[in-house]
Amino acid sequence: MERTPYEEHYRGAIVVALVTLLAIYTAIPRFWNVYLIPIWAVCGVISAILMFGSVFWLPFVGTDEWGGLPLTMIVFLTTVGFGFPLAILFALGRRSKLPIIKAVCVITIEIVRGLSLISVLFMMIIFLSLFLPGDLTIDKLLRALVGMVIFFGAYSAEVIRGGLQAVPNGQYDAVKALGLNYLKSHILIILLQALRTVLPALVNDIIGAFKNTTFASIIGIFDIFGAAKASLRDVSWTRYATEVYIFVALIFFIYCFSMAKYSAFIERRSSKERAR
Amino acid sequence: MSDTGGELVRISSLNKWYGDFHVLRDIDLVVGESEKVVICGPSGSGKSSLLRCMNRLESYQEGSITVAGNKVSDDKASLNRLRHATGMVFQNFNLFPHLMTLENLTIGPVYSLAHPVAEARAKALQMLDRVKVADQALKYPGQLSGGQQQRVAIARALMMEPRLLLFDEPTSALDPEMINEVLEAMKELAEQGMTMVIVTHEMGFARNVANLIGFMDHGCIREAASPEEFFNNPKSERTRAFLSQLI
Ligand SMILES: Nc1ncnc2c1ncn2[C@@H]1O[C@H](COP(=O)(O)OP(=O)(O)OP(=O)(O)O)[C@@H](O)[C@H]1O
Ligand SMILES: [Mg+2]
Repeated sequence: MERTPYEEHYRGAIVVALVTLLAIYTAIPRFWNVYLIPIWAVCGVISAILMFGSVFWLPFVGTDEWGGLPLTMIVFLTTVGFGFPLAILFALGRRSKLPIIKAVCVITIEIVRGLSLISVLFMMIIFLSLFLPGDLTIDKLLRALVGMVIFFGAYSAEVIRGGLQAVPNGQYDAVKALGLNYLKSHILIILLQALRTVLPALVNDIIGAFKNTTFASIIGIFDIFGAAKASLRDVSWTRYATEVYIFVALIFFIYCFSMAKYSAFIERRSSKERAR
Repeated sequence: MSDTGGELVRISSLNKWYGDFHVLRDIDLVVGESEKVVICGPSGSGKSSLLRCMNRLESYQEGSITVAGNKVSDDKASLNRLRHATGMVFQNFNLFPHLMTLENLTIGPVYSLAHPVAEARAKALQMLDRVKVADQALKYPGQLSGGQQQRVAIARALMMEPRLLLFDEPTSALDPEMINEVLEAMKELAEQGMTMVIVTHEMGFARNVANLIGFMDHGCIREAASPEEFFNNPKSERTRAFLSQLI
């Protein structure tokens, strides 16, 4: 299978740079604002245009030709970007008073948590093709992404649920006494506090999601790890195997280490607010 | 009882159970506009439960409660009106720890009543001034003393311009030297004509402020009388025993 043609590689590089810069910008508390959400949405659209192409002067590149660090980034950000809201919905749904919503959430969470990511990914690849009518094919990358989003959502839902349980009952009393409705009170008061309590565990999950992107290579998606392996099949590269793997490891280390450090910074920052 | 006419709260034949446990038994209580009712009684007698039924933090099984013309029920619209008509001050303050004092005050008006932010902020500063914590507006609850936190909590309840304020042991979690500053703030409110139902064991405060003192025991209101009568000539044996313990 052909990878992205070499002369189109700059597009992936732009995506990586764009996303990394925006992530750094987002990380700075001074810039925390709801506007970040549309900014990220725009970033997603730009990235999609760059990756797919077939508009402007950009030739089309199908997802089966994507690869390398840009793909790793895309898998990671999609997993967290969609998985995190899903986790919140799962966690709230699990505490819902409506039996149906509660049942759906409990069953999904428990099934997914009983599986490994690998089995979820294989289910997405193999079972989905069995159940879908033959002529309907869903992009392999999209299926892997759906699997990863659900996996992340189910695991983090339990973390968030722990945080929700740690919010004192008095906080619920106070929001009700002020007449705040379910949605507003959860966004403004309950969830904010719950997420703060479980931030370290949540960052753990997010770092885990970054590392888990490598599983994509097992089902034939050429994330950075898959790309490294593939390039080593080229004889002229084989003798650099150590260097290639060290380079990949270094990239993972830089991203994961900065996330861990950043979470420690955020923790210190919010504990300062509470300190007497 | 009331010298101002209007009736704000009417509770009749209220019964409530937690599972098998009969926590409120045949409660009848009327609170007039701008009246102050103090409720006392031993631990576990159902004082908090009664108070929490009045703003529907707890449900009840029998009887009826009407607050400011709203029958207390689960009906969405009437529940909304009820919550806007009542404010509550809790034993443990229950301020929002991740919000500054000022934001604690504005969150109700802005997000519950859809008031403009600027207006809510101006009003919040006024309210903080009223309970004498204006200098703490930009601090987080964790940075305030217990007494200051409770006064902020009172200001937060006032922001909704409630017609009825409910206090559940507002001074029990405070160090002794801070009790008075909170009682002072409550006394001022009382003088300004706020209708208040207060669960407290501060009998000096009750004597000065209350129009009616109710003594609860095992889910019943054993005695409801004016302060003079309550302290000087209690009818029930249980009340006498309770008072002698307090003094
Ligand atoms: N949610 C609940 N579920 C079951 N039982 C409860 C619940 N809340 C309170 N109770 C019980 O009901 C009784 C009355 O509780 P309540 O809190 O109303 O008493 P109280 O008079 O306010 O006591 P205190 O002075 O200790 O605050 C207690 O025995 C308590 O254990
Ligand atoms: Mg109580």
